Amino acid sequence: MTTLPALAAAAREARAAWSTRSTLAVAAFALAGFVPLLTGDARTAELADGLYLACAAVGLAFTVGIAGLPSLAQGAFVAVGAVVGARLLELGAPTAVAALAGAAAGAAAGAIVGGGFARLPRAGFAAATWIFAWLVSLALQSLTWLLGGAEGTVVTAGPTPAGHYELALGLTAAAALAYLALARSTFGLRLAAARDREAAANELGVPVHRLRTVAVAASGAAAGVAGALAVALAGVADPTRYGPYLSFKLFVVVLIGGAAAPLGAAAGVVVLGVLSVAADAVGRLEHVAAARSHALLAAVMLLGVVSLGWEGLVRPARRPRRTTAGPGPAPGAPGRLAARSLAKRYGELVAADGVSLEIVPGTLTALVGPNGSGKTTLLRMLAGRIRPDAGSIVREGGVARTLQATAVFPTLTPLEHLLAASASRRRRGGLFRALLATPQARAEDAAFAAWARGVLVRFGVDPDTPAGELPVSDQRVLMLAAAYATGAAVLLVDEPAAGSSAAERRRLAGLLRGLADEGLALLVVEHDLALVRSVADRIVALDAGRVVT
Amino acid sequence: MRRAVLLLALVAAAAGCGTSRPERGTLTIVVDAPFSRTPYLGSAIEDGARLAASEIDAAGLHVGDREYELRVVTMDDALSAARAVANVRSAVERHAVAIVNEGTGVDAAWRVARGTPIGIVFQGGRGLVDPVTRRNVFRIAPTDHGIAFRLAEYLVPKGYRVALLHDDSDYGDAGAGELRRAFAGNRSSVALDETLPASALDLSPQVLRARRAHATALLVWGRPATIAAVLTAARSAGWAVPVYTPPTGADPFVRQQLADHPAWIDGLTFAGGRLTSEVGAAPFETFAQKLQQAFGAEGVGVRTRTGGRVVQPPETAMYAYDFVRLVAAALTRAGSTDPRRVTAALEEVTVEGANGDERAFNRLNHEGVVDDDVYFARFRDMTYAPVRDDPLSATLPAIPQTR
Amino acid sequence: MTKTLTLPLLLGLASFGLTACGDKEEEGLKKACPTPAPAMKSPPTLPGKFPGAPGVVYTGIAKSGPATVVSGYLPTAIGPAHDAYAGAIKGASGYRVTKEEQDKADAEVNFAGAGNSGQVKLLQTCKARTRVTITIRPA
Repeated sequence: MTTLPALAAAAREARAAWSTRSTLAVAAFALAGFVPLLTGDARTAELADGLYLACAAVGLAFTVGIAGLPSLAQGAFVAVGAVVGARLLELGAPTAVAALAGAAAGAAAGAIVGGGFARLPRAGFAAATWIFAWLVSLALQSLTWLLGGAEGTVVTAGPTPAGHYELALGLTAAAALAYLALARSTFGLRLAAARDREAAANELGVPVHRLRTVAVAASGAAAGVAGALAVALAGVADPTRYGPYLSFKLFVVVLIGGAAAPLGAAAGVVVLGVLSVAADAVGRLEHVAAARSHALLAAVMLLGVVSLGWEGLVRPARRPRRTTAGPGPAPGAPGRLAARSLAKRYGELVAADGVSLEIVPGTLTALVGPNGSGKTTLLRMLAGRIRPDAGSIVREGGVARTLQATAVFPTLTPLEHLLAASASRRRRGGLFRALLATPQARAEDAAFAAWARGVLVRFGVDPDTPAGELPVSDQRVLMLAAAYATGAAVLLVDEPAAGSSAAERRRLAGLLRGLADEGLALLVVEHDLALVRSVADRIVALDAGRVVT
Repeated sequence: MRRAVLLLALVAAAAGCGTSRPERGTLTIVVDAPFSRTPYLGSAIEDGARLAASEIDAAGLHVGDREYELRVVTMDDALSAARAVANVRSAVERHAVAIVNEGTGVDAAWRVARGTPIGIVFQGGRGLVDPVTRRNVFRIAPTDHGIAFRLAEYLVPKGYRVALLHDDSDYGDAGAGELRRAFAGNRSSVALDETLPASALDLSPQVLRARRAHATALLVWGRPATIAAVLTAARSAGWAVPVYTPPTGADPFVRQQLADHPAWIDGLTFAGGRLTSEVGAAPFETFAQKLQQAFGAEGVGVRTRTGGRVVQPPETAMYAYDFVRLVAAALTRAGSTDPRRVTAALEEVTVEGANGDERAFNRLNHEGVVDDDVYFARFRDMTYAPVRDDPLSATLPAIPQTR
Repeated sequence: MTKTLTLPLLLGLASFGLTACGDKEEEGLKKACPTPAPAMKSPPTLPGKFPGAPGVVYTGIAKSGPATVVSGYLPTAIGPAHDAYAGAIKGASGYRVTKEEQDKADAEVNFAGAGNSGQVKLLQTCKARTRVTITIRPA
């Protein structure tokens, strides 16, 4: 598509997606742009500093709100950007170069932290990032060559305070737009899936650890650019500004403003700023220094947010996804799965003992057996989640598994489930394309959305209701639909009819048979023998880890 | 007759009503100090500035053809350079005629001050003041260079083997640099050169190392907590080694920390800017009394053996006081509140300082305390008096320090 | 009668005492000078080629740690002594006066230059002699 038609298409889409909230946001930013005309340099500089904080906070909001990672290292990423920016500015580098270098340094630090800690449980991630923030702070204080000790590193003057203000306003807006673009992209959807149910996301082929690392790196980039530019604004890189309290403050503003909305964090900065004025007044009355009264205020607000389950001042808005006719995912090639002499023991317990089986395209194999016979363990081995102690598995064409328990992503709609599941089938779904919302990426988004709606019609699931609000039967069907959307040639379905009514079992039987007739290779674990007999081409019985038929 | 007198009175009153006195303008002096981190220092600077401002207002400040009064505004820099820069920006926005600063952030803030004079009244670091490149930065406080060299001049002739102990704070690091320069030509007088962790509560290992190096004197350059920790380590080990310090040795914190062992303070000798001048102690004592009447005495928090409440002589307050008075004189001389003209005038005026000494700057020198005005004082019973074995110190009287 | 006279008498004595003190200092400046300390055999080489005031007589030089302390005298009163040293320092290449102060009987001229800094302390001890103490230390 050439540039002008592409821009015209983008404008049409933007107009279609426009809402009152969009109008308010644009108006707020436009009005905010005039503020330097009304304020002196000191106040403008203070506001610019606050906006750089907001930019870093928006970056953190993505990690906290979309990826679900309680990062307490954002202040450290700001510090990393500040150190790199300060060193370059000290050498006379242009402010833009220092800003880009700060962003790169922040991203690198974020990648290291994400890569190192993203596998930890949430509490562990929070603790590890908090320790990282402390380490960075201690390094800045102890290694005076980093930032020149208590007097800091003096840097050459760059833009005026008003210039910084407009730059910071623009960066905050850009960060919010980037947040929006990434949250709606498959990158964001898969992160959200992993946030909601990591195990289920893994089964859909979501590379959870890699995506989380990228998310933390992206937030590090936002922090790094903010850190470098804040140094240019202040004219000095002051190590005392980058203590763990900065990370704490950023975390608080994200929670107050709302981690799930692009401008939530910015709103949190405004709220904290306004309340800080009140805290200053109270502090003066009680002869408490501003630094202490601010910290006290932030701590009280965090306690309130956490204890009241506050979801943030700004709630996320659901925008309908555009659908257009277009090429959806290419159909996958037929596949099969062959297992030979699989064995698995857990101490004295034999979970699998010489199990061999083959699942071929166009067939539905049922796996039955009493509880504890090793069915789920076999499925996990076949899906590659656990390694067998012996034996071999050949997989052709991709394997997807549904979990035994009902495991949907409650905050995502069924449409978003399928978009997340089919992400690996995209041709133009990369991170940068999503960030820049290129016309090709948007066209592919719309085509996949149309395809996903069609699939959900076939499966009989409402595409737009958040999955957590669907009946359990629809949730179990959605799990099957999501596994189908991955394009895997082999589906491992674990007790799809558990707790279903007769009508629901008939629905499931129809869907499973339809998938097999379409050419997929299915292995279905089920206790309902009537259902099994009605759909299965072959029945394999397992007892104490051995195939008995 | 009575009617005539009444008429005359009415006419006089009407004439008086017709001519109203012109309103006094307000000029702002900003005190930018670490109120939250070192409240004692911040309030000392503020009190000195406020006392000077109130006296100037009482006498009347004329700048050009207008009369002004001075208003002192305080800002907390929390020992943060970035905070100091923001405060200076704010001061410039308020059209402050001068900024009294304890030293934090001056390296970055002097440019942002846009020519507004900045008076440093505490930190003595090298490089902070440069009359050529930083024309708007002045200092009334002893320099680290002066302190270090005077200490070397005092200690080397005594034949000591000195252990140079400095903590790893920025103050300690800067002082260490000056001490190394000062002792560069007398390395045989240095038994040990050791860095002390500023955050450590127990410095026994380091003090023991000094003892094993056969040091016969300790020169401790660091924050008050470090000095207290060194004294504790030495004295609790039974080592009666003489201890010498820069002005931080006189900080009340040292005596507060050792209040349970007052004998450990005895003999502690520090170097500082002289409090009195050649004319005698009276001017400084008068200043101290005025300060006490206005703001109360600065209690150290300890008592002498006879129960006297120890108060701290207001050295830093004196420097702030003198700087504000210099600024007032400069304003009058310049006849203008334009920062650059006031800065230029600061290099031309002379005032009598709180201690009776002349305070002045000039185009080549923005230091208000010369190195040769560094003296030595020794503690005895929680109060200190000038030593008798230094030519300058021997001429100085002891300042009363109990109430 | 006694009571009436006491206060004026006391005031009179006090003012006499004060003027007497002031007079003592002035008397000291007027008194004849005793034999001076012997001059050094040859003029010392001062650090940084520190300039000497015309007519200065050096009586000793010593090291005090990093500082060099030079003693001597000028056969003049405090005013000309101060002017002589201030002029000599200002006229010396690479040197500048950073601060100078003169009182009735003493004066200081602070200087910097040639990698050093220090002070010339002048004290008039008798009618036509001013003691000179120069402290020169590395800058």
